[in-house]
Amino acid sequence: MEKPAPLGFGLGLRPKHYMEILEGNPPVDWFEVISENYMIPGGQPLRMLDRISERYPVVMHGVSLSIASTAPLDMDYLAGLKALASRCKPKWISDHLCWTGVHGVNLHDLLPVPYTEEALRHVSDRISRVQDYLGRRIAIENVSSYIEYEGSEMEEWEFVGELARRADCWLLLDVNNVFVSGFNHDFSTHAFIDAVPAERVVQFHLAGHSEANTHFIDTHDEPVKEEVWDRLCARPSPLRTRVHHDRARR
Amino acid sequence: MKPSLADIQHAMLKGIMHPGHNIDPLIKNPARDTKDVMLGVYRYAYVSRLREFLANDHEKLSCYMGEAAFATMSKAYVAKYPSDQPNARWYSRHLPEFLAATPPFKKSPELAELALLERALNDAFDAPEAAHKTFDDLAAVPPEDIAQAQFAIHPSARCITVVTNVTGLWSSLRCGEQPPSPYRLDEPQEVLIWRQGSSSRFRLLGKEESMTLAKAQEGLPFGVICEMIAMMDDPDTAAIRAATYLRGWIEAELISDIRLA
Repeated sequence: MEKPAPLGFGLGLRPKHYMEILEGNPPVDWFEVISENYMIPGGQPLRMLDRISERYPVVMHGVSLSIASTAPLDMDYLAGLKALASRCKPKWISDHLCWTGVHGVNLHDLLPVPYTEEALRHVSDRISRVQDYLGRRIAIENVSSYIEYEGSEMEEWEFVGELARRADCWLLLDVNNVFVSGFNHDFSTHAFIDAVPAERVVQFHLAGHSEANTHFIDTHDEPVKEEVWDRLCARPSPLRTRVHHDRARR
Repeated sequence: MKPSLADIQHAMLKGIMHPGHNIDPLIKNPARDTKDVMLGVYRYAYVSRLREFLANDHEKLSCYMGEAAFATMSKAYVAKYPSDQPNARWYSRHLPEFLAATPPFKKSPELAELALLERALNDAFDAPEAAHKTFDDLAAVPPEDIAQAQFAIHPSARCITVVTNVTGLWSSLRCGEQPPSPYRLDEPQEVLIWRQGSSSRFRLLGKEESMTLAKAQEGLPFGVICEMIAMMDDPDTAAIRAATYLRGWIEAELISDIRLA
């Protein structure tokens, strides 16, 4: 399958932007929609999405696929995801390298996985099954993390690269997440970014983070830090970037 | 023996939801701070995110209760109802029942009713799409067929029954005014909630119109509904009353289809 063509510079679609987009046709190359916000029966959000996706390319970005969970895949969720994709015809669909819950509980957070061979097998198998069901490759995004597991057997970037190869999926490289995790866990962000297989990366994310007393938190409510731009600019790939600016995490 | 991925996720879930649960052996010594502080990022986010879902869905209730009381209530709700849905949109769906059954909130029945009204308005906002019929569509029905006509009601429409002045409270809160004191109504009141255009709306219904709408939702032909109206009050004006209801529904974009049986 051919890698999607570069789209340019995109923005996250939020309800407050609807009218400005429809009335002003702003010079944005594409919009990223949070999949779950449109996995609803009907009403204004879907009408707006229909109108905006007629004018701009869109990509779908989810937060609840829970691809690394040991709970069974949620087929109702996947059916909703597939129906939305059929409706808005995204250039690609992405979600996170994380789990959001088990035992029927959803924590609504992007929880990291241990970087083990067991997790690698588990997650790559699930990505393959999701891709088979959706009939397309998906893109997987690295998350910000605040803890590391004692049992990890490899570095995060080794896990990400091998996962993409085994599952034959795309990657969404969140440069801010690399920066936040790199600071929190004291690893080299350059090592991470250099190790990610560029041929698999279809999109970059940028966002601002907050500085707590001793660590960074991926809050999306601050301007993108200079160092994060620097990391992005160090990449030779054509840019397909979206800037996060959302509500506070803390 | 190394814990499996399933073991780790089980332990992490408990460790995040129940801060007293010790999962330190699973976590590497952090580079920047203690395990407790770093895990605390997830613990804090779990509770604050669920509270934020409640506040987003129940803006008027939050305003009515006040920040501190709403936070206390949210904490109790979060403890009772972990999220079981991938979509945050549905997290607050138990709130009316929770407030009606849980002390001290159940002593103030307007709280549960405010949550119920807001939930109904939220549900109407993103209810399934349907067409809305116009007076021209109604005029196209041959007069001899009108008694057999079935009027499909828009899928966003639903009625709730309230026993407090909750609609007055909601309206005051919407205008940013000081809400009136809550009180119990002399008799239960039906409230219709639906979506018109892109906006959710509500209005009070009399008993007869409420029954008429319910029968239309059941798919009864208009002629049968008129006969039922005639039994509720003056039979001589039953047809006029039925036509008045129908006209109001068309104006409110509540009729999604006109079918001839």
